[in-house]
Amino acid sequence: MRTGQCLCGAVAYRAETADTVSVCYCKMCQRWASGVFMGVMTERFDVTEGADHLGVISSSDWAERGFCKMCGSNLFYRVPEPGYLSVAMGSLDDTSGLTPRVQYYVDKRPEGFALAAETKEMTEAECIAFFAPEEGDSHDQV
Amino acid sequence: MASKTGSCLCGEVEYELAEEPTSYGACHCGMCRKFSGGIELGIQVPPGGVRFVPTDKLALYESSDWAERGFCMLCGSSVFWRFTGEGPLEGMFSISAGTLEDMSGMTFDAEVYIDHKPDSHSFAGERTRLTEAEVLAAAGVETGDDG
Repeated sequence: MRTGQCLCGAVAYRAETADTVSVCYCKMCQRWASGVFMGVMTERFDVTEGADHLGVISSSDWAERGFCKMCGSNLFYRVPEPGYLSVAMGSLDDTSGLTPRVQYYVDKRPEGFALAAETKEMTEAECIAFFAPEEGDSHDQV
Repeated sequence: MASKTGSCLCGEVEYELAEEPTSYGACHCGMCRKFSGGIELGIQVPPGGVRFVPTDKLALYESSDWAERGFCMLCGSSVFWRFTGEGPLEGMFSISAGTLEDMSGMTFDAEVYIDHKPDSHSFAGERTRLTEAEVLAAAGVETGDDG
């Protein structure tokens, strides 16, 4: 079980997380996370403090993003159907034992940026085919 | 060529830079990691080098005695970090590189607070890498606090 919180401490959570990090370079994640989003998949996620300070935006037809309304810290990426939530890696109190596992939208990676580690990589087209095959549209919806 | 304009995820916060940006850096400090949720990539912009389209959706959080952070209150996008302390860097912005419309042609030329970086990830390539102490010395700040 890991815990996490925003910068100002208004919102805190606990979560049972995977030990791996998913990195996303899609333009929505880039805009939201200021560069590169790193998410850690959870099996269980509970807000333990400050639920009324939690902002949630529907950033596309299938995903929501949670953040603290007081300090702007990014907390999670959630897909209500089929129902999974990734916490923002930066919000975790303890990141020990985490390793990058996959990079999504690698063809949209900011120029000059590369992880030192080798991971599974998926292009935008491969991500769309995998996550939203019926949609067929770019994830850059907003 | 990189663009001079950018916006948050939902489009409520928009800006235009005075100069076309050519490079960006990454900050590994705990506050930037928390604010962005991932990797904060920033474009260093001097005071007066960015103009925000008037909006009531740009929120400010005073994250330390010498820094504030701008974000969109509708979508939570991390838009900028700004140095508010006195000294040579007063008023300097780090504009979130991911909000730029187009980052083509830019180089990734610096990583700061490298001694605060989690062990889980590292970035490939050669570039300037500065510790917290080196950054604070350059900024003329005495404390050990992150911004």
